[in-house]
Amino acid sequence: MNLFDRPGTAVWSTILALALAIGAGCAKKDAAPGSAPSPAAAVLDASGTVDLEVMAFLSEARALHHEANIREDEGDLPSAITVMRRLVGATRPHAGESVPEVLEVLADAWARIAELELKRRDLDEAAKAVKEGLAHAPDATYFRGHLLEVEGVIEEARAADFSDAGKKDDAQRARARAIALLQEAVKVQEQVIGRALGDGGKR
Amino acid sequence: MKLDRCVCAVGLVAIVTAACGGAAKSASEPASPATSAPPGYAPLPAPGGAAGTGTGAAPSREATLSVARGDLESAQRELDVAAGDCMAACRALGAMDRATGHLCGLVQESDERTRCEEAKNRVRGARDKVRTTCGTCPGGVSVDRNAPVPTER
Repeated sequence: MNLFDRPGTAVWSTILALALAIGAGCAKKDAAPGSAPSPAAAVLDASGTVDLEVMAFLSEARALHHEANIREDEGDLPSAITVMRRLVGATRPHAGESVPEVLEVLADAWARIAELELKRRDLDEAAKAVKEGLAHAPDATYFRGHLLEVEGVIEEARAADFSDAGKKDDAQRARARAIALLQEAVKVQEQVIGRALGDGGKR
Repeated sequence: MKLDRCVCAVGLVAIVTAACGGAAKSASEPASPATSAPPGYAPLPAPGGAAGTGTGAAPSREATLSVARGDLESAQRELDVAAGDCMAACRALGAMDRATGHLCGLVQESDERTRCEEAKNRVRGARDKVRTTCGTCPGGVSVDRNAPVPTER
């Protein structure tokens, strides 16, 4: 399994992005007033020191994803889900504040819970996890797009179940929902690419 | 893979250290106002031709090196940020590709086929964009416009 496919790599990506941003942030302490804030702002305080609370949370998330990987590799999906639920229930840094990196970790963790629930064919629990995740990802980010993608796949599975049960109309409706969600996921990721590569996320 | 992650982790430390260390160094080393190059060193043209113009004096080696060091650090920072952007773009492209695969696997009616084609076109457009800026993507995410959507793995 490669770096991009492995569950939990979104956390790794966040840590990588933070490291890069911290590097850029260190070098930009004397940036002109009014210039765009560094993306590292959330983990750097006013003096440019790394926010250890956020870094500790990211580290905890990474460890829990790793533990869930082991459980999943062993085929123990309930334990993997329990581990991920520990992450979404963990003490968050700067309670009451909205820290983008923390929200991304939570959205990503809920997406993984949804995927694990889907894998053990509990579609209702999977759908609930997606809803929880979307609450942490209101904007057009990779994490929102990924959650919509997972929700689309859940509806795809639901359509198959209805079809197998001979419920044609229900299957048709679930299929239509799946297509709409997957289409939305594609559009969100397209915006993410546009923003990352400099067109401001047009379209 | 674990090894990839270890290598990446080492790289991260190096990147952060280099960026922070470099910045601190340049901040603590103000450019020298010296006006002549030492023997054996021809004065180098300043970037943009700005330094030294109007005064008739050539920048010192120290000043030239300081400017070069600043340019190098600036380029390194841009490279670091670009690497992060490409990683984000590749990850999103992989997700687009997967979602389109699921979407197109579900279509039955002509209206739905149109939506599938529209999604595929978006993926092709995104591949062009990512290829132009980033070259390639890791993890088997295709940036070839003509490759099947979704990418065959």
